[in-house]
Amino acid sequence: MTVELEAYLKEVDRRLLVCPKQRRLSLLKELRGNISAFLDERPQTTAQEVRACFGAPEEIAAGFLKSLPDEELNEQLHLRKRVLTFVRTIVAALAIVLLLLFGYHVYDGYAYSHGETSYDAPIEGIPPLDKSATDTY
Amino acid sequence: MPHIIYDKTIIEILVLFLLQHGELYAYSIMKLISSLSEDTLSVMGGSLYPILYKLKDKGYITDRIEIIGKRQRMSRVYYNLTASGQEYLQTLLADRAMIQNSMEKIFKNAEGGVDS
Repeated sequence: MTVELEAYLKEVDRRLLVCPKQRRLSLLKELRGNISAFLDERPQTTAQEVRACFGAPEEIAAGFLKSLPDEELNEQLHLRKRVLTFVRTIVAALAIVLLLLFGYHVYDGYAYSHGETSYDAPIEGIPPLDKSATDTY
Repeated sequence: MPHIIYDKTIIEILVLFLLQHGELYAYSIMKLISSLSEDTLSVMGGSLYPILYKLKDKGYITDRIEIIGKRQRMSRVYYNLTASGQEYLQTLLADRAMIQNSMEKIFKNAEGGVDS
């Protein structure tokens, strides 16, 4: 099959992503077989002619999806929705953590530059640092 | 330019009628509709596939899958008519004949004018 026909089939495949995988693969195998029979009779045929005979990818996909039992389609849609919700929750949680870390980093830098840092606070058991002793000449 | 059929009932009748003569796969059904109508009618894949799968789900037809091609990426699905499919076809044909008769009566009776 030509590149254009593979692109045609890929487009049908893309529009069938809500189908359960096994059913989607068997539908595509059948479509590929039918197109192959069409090509056997017309070796020089173009993707446009295939499209004219079988229909646009969105029409084929819509036809396939209409033929699915409602329960199966709804189950697949709910599963996709659950997976998307889970991924969005993870991304949102990561974004919040990163924001908090960034915010703390900014605050820490601000506090240090304004002398509010606790880096010079005395530690029990260790004498405070004599800053004059570290002056360089 | 052939007339493209979208009417589900007509496609069902044609599919079941053609399957009376032996097993066929989707593209061969499309070809037969075109050739037997002398290129006056055609049906698109997007209209045909949902009809085939619904008829199969209802038990009016069965399928036989043959994997073809070198990398087994293609299959040819042959459909066959069942006994209940044959009965359903007769029901559809009888309904269609009844509607056709009724419509002819309407056309005939309305010739003298329509009085609402």
